[in-house]
Amino acid sequence: MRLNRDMVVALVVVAVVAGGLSLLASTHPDGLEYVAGRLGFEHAAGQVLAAPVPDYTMPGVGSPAAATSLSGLVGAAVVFLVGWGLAGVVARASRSGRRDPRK
Amino acid sequence: MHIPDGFLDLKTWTSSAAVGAGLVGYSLTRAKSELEERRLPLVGVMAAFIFAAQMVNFPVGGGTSGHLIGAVLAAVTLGPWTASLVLTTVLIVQCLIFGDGGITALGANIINMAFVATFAGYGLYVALRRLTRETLAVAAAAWVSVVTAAAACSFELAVSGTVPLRVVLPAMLGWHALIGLGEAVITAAVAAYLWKVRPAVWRPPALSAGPAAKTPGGAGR
Repeated sequence: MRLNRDMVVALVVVAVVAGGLSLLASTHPDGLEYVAGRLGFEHAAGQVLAAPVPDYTMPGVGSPAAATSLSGLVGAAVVFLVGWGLAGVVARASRSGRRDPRK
Repeated sequence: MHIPDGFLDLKTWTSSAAVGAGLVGYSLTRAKSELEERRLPLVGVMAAFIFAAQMVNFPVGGGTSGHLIGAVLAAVTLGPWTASLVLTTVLIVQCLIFGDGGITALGANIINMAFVATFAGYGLYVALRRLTRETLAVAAAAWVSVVTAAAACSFELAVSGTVPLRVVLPAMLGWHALIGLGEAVITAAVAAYLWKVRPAVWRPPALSAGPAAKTPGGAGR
């Protein structure tokens, strides 16, 4: 599967989920957050590193819906490229065998 | 079930970071065998789909929601070692860019969702696929992946002294037994669709001959 029709279709589906369906996401706490609230340890949660796009909301975008959509699209694009790139690096190491090819 | 900073104590997060790094390093050597040239873009596609799907929380009742993990979906389409790297990629991007999951909890989150979920689910899938309809095997594997990851998460919280195991384990297992139903439905539907429209590409090489193949799967090689 190169950059052909399949790839375009797959990426359109991903974009629809990341940029569109993400707007319909339930705002209820997830399983762990809910349990933490119920059992009284949610106050322990903190954040060591400041995130550039906190809570999937792109900073500087006026509309909350657009901010969520855009963060989903950007995140999906980053993950797509990193995932493909990582697979390429791992596969290339595969073809040269387990030994260091420079030896 | 992304653990934030603050839920794990120093000994737990440092040791889970070390274990997580070791597991990822090992996966990098094992995934080679699953990655044929033509399937490389699929890894990016699956990673992006899982990232996107993880944004879509679905309500499970009682004021709680859940979202797909995607470990079994990646494992049954790309192979378990590649799946662990796909989930690791998603978790690192979520942590560093979106602050979803703490940096100190990254190792634990990788252990739970990229390894425990992947290998518990994939192991069950390989065991079940010859005994029952394949979509049923995938659904059961997906459900088990969520419940085992929730158990691992509970264990890490308990070891940290954040909450006693006997309190947190039943609560986590109960909610994730429900969330796992969503995982099962989505995973079985997407895998069945991919196998129907593109059976030649969305199979791990170890299992590419279909359910009748003798190869026991990637985990045993």
